[in-house]
Amino acid sequence: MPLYLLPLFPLIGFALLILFGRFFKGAAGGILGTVAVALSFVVALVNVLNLPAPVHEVLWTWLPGMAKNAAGQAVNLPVGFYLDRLSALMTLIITGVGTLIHVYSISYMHGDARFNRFFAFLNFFVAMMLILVMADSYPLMFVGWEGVGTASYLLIGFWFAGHRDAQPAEGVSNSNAARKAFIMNRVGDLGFMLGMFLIYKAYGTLIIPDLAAMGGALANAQRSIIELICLFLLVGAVGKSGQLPLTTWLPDAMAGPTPVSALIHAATMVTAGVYLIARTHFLYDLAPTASTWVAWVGGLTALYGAISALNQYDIKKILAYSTVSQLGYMFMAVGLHAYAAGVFHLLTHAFFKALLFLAAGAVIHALHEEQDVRKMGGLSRVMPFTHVVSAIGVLAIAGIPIWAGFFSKDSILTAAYEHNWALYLIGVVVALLTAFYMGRWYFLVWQGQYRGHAHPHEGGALLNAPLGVLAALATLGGFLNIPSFLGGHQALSTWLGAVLPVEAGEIGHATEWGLTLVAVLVGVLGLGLAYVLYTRNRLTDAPAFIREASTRSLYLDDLYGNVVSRPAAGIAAGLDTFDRGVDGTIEGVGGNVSGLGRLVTFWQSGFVRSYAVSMLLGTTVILGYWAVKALGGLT
Amino acid sequence: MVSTGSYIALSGILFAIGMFGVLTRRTAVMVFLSVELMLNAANLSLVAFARAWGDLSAQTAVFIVMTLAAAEVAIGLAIIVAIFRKRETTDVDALAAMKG
Repeated sequence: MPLYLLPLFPLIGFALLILFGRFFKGAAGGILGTVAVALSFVVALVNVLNLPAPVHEVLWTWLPGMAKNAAGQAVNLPVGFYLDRLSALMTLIITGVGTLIHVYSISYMHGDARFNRFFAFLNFFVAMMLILVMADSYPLMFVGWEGVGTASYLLIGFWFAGHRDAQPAEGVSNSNAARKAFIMNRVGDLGFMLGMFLIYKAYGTLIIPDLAAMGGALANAQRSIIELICLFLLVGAVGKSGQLPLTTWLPDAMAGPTPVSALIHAATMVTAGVYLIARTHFLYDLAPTASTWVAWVGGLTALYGAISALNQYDIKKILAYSTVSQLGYMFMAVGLHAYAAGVFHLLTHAFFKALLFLAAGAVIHALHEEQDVRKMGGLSRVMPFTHVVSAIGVLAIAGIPIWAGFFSKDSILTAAYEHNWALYLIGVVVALLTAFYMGRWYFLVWQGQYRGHAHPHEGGALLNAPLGVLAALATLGGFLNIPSFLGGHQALSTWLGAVLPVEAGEIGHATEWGLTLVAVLVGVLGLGLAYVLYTRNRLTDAPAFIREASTRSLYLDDLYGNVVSRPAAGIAAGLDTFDRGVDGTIEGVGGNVSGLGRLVTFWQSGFVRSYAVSMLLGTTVILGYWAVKALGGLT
Repeated sequence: MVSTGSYIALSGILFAIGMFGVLTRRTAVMVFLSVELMLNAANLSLVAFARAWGDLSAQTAVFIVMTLAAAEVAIGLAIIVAIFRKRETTDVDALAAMKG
């Protein structure tokens, strides 16, 4: 099937919902949006099943004669889609998880004043995300890149202050979160664009399959240029994926509705950075320094996210910092050139993190918009189904065998062990922290006594069905890629091996067993620690300064506030004062002139008789002058 | 024969009386009357000078002034009547709407 069908269906859904939204009553708009994405999923599935070789479809020429190449010929920039196994996997994740989240949203957003608008934005997001992953050139990828950013902005601020269902104060903070996401992404976009410019300057083309086909000829460019390209693209990826140092927008993005957090800020959009680096693997393979940067950015972000997640109280913020941390894992993997491991973790993370977010959404829904874990607890008795799927999600993210996170995290840790012991240590510590904070999340929400005042109840079938499917995927997803020492064939890595370089594992089976044992032990230890600390409704156990640092996410937001926002506000205030000064000068000149005028208007009193006096005086003076002159002067 | 100087003196006295009236009277009609007095004082001096020099051109000027004064009375009184109908007063100090 033609590739353009994939983004076409959600785009049609978007157009119908945005233009004729008022004609869709009840859940009709939601069903339309869901069907559009489901059709895309069918197309994606058919395409993936019939994919013997990468497909490259050129639709039309976008910029004819965009530039002249070194030989003086005009270069055209076409719009086209490119589907290989990497982008095919991404389309499956986007449309598959997207469909489930659309179904969930029909129930979750029920009764919202802008129900149809919500689905229009979601469809727009899915279309843009598909364009991003299927783009055959960097500029087209950038179109999708900006499109998903726009969708993210619109959906984070969905409950803005003007929305009927939003509290005014909360609405303002939602809008601010949306703007923060957009502005911080701008910083990354600059890097992406500079990277594109440099690629064109170095190689004379921006078409990804053409670049990949150049193979060894890519190394002809200066090595410093290749490194610089990769570093610029890393800046772009860092912005989109909420990595250090541009990470603070992602936790704030939880202001959006929960399905948005699940789809955009956990499963798909934020993984675009990982996808960009995996897509550009042919350059990163030639750039060892930039790759090391990628890996360290990932490792440090993983640690940062995990520490920040330790003491959050918002049920979604815990998951948001967890997303930051897991994205750090993926960056670590692609930075170490273990692309298949990174993409594998991207896949499993999409399953279990979407599952956890949707479960959190069900809890928030059941408790009437309560998000504070201190006011939850003991929900396993009233919401048994959601409890079970959440437990599966926690087991998956903690890396407990047989769940999906175990396999993917293990492959990343193995790669780290092979290449960089420091990153491996960080990875193990993060695994421990991950198991701990997810255990804390689980015990605070589901075990112990209920500490709130609402009357929680299980959600409907539309809420539960996507949770069930995602739970199944989070359980079984790992079996796609069973490592060889466990008797598997690394099916997914082999499959991806057609488009991504796969490294032959050099470490022995005994070592791999050891590494796996360490990872599992660390996971069990973290969960056990959380059990000991949080099972009896205890809320605060960490020493005060650790607690404070974690809750304020290592003061990064305060740092930006003081280093960037405050000086900017200061400059703005200065300019404002200057402006007022200029204004005041002009006002003052005008005032003085009219003051002078007022002095003169004293003469125009409006009294006829005073005019007569002045006439008399004037005449007398003139006559006197003539008289003096006629008499020969005063002498 | 009365000397030209006496005529001029009378004319000056009349003019001063008229001037005094214009500056002190607040009723528009009285101000108007005083203006007439000043005009006729000027006429008297013109006629006196005409007799002194034996030249009739100054008398011609007097006729023009008398015609103008008649026209001015017609228009001026009409304006005063209109103002009185509008404001119910002819006090010139109350008519200070043109104050700057």
